[in-house]
Order: sequence, then C-alpha cells, then structure tokens
Amino acid sequence: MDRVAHPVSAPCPALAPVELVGVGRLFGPVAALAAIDLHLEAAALTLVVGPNGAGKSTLLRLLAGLLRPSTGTVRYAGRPAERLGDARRAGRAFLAHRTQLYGDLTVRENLALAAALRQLPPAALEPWLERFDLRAAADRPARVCSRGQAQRAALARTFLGAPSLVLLDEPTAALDAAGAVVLHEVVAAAVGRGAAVVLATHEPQPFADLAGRTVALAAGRLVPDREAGGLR
Amino acid sequence: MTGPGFLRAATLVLRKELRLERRTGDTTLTALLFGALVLVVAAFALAEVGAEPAAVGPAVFWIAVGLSANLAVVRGWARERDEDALDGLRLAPVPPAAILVGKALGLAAALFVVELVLALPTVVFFRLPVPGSVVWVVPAALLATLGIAVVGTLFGAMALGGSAAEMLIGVAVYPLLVPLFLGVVEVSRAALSGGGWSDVAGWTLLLAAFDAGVGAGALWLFGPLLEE
Repeated sequence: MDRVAHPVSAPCPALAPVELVGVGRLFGPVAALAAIDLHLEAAALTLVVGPNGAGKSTLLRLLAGLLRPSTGTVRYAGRPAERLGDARRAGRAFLAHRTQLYGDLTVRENLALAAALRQLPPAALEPWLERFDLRAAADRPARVCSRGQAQRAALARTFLGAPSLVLLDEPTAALDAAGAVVLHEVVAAAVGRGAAVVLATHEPQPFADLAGRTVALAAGRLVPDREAGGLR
Repeated sequence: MTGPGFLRAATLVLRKELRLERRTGDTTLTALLFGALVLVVAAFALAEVGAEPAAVGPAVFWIAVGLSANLAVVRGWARERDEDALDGLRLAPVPPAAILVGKALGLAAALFVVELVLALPTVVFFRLPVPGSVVWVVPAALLATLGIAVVGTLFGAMALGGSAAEMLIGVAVYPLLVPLFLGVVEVSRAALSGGGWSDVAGWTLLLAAFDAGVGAGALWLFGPLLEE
C-alpha cells in the first residue's frame, strides 16, 4: 500500500521522554483522571485502552496542553509544560474526536492555515494531501466532505511538520479499510523517525504490532498490568 | 519548526476571519439586519412620542450597533466551537493574545461594515445634519468599534461552550461598555451640531484611554481564559 513516499519534514525538537507524575484532573467535583504516573519514550507507540469514560481523551488533552492538570505535573524532555518554547510547543500534535476544521474553509485552506501557523511552507501540505488521498477533496469546503474525508484531513493536519509527540484519539473512527492501512503506515513512519506516539482506541488490534506498550485506564486511573487484560 | 511570531500569527487569524466572512457573510448580515430593525423601530417609536430626532439619532445608532455586536460576537465564536476549531489554533505555537487580536480585528471589520451601511438610514430617518465637522466622528467611531470588538471577543471566549452565551455576553459586556457608548454618542452629537475638535477632544481621548485599558487587560486575560 506504499503508493506514496512518506512525507518528510525536518523533525521538531524532541519532547520525549514525557513524564506524568501524580497527574489528576477534576471537572467540578468529578475526577476524570487521578494519580496518573506515566512515562512515554521517544520512538515508541503507546496504546491507551479503556471503556467509555475511562479518561482516555482527558489524558490526551492534558498531554496536548489543552488542559491543565488539577494535580501533579507533566514534563516534556525534562521541562515543565508551562516552560515549553514555541519550537517545542509546535512539536505536539493532537487528533481529537472532532476534526478541528473550519467548515467553510476548504480542506487545503484548513491545512494551509495550520502550516502557516507553524511556519511551514505551503508546499509542505501537498505530500500529506497525496498521502491521505485527499487530492479530489482538497478544494471542497470541509463541511461538504464525508466524515471519512474530514477525518483524513484532520489526520493530514496532525502529521504536518513532523511533530515529535503525536496524540491520536480514536484515529480510525470513520476511516475505511484503505484509510486505516495508510494510518498504520504513517504511525509506523512517525515512530521510525523518533516521535512518541500515543493512541487511544477501543480497537487496539490493528496497531498491536507497532505498540511498544499498552496502558489501560478505568474510572480515571491506570489499571495495573496484571488486571488490564480484560480491557484490551 | 517554530511559531510565526505575534504579528504574523494575528495576521493569519485575521485573514482566516475575513476569508470566512467573505465566503459566508453570516456575521455581518445577521448583525446588519438586526441593527436595521432596531433603527427602524426606534425611529418610528421616537417620532410617535415627539422626541427631537436630531438629538436622539446618534444614541439610537450606537444602540443599534451595540446590540448587533452581540450577535456578531456569538456568530464569530460559533465558528471556533464547531468541530472544536479553536483547539487547532490553541495547539499552534502562537501566543493566545495573537488569536484575540486577529479575531477582534475581524469582528471590528464586520462592525465597520454594519456602521457604514446603517449610517445613511440613520441620517435619513432622524433628519440629521451633516456638517463638515462630522469628520470628528470618524476617529471616535474607530476607537469605539475597536473597543466593542476587543471586549466582545474577550467575553465571547469566556462564554464559549456555554448554553447561554448570548445572555452571558450581554450581561457582562454592556455594563463594561457604558463609558464607551457615552463617549461616542457625545462625540457624535457634538460633531453633528457643528462642534470642533475642542468640543470632542475630551470624549475622544476618553475612548482612546478606554481602548488602551481594556486592550491591555484583554491581552493579559485571554490566555488564561482559553484554558479549560
């Protein structure tokens, strides 16, 4: 399925190892995460599994810097989250449940905006349009794209600029079989160039061959390995 | 890979706002229609009670602009809420204040259009004189529009995601904007009455001071506001 070479950009400064120490997150009285101790290495894929409401998305939003922990600390390559410079902040990429696309901008305009905000040249997005088979949809407003095309566009934006910490929340949602194969290849390439990739999913099997580690969450807490079998 | 810097980031966000507005026109059109409605209803109602049109015209104009701005703010932030597009901006290596500046200038541009279009019917409905001194309204209108845009954008971010965003924005924004509306209405009245710079200078400087104050506060507050 390797129809197109993997797009290559100069890699971002390393953010790994990423260390979470005693991290918790409250939403009002509800503890979405509690007492999370986690160590994420460079050049490795970590799968995060768990039932709905386990805290997987909250964990990824914390790692992306979109949420602050209520307790504990997150450190990227030894630096506290609040002291990351622009170059390192640019190294975090996050694919969320929603696509983060402007519906009235075309797919190409959405990606061009993301590229410009990272000081990437406009040409940087072309290989990703190709890689995720978005040529035909590139000049359509995102709101008229199919769910699968929008997900591919969101994935293309996520991998723009060779991020060193890639956070993927249910990335295979809405992808067809071919799209899932491309995603597998792109994740493998990201790990191969040294990125730390964290992938939250209900279906870990397609990525099991790449995963260096699987962590399980339940009710906002990490499940010890010996108890996690039922969650995988 | 680094960030584009403050000015470049603000420019990119502004260009995105203008492109979306040019494509859909929904913020400007919604605000314009609502403002025109306020203007027409007020013109007829005030004529019924015998109010002196030239005396109340500037106030009605700025009330129409202020109320329209509420809709424009809500519409402008709805774009960011749809599909969590704002998260895409927050993930970029740009200062949060650059997002505020870009979005506020985009809102100000939409409000300028609303003001320009509403100006002519205001002059006609309220039979306003248009002396040469009307030129003094221009800097005051620019300052007032920027102030409304900055405060609206700031509080729009605060209300983002809330189910009662329009109410929250209205309740929080209008009391803060009282000095701004007083200033721009007084400048408009003085200028339309043939007053010179000395008649409008005090209020215009008040508007500039207001903008400087709320601008500095907004730049400082916006980052923490965006954090969940």
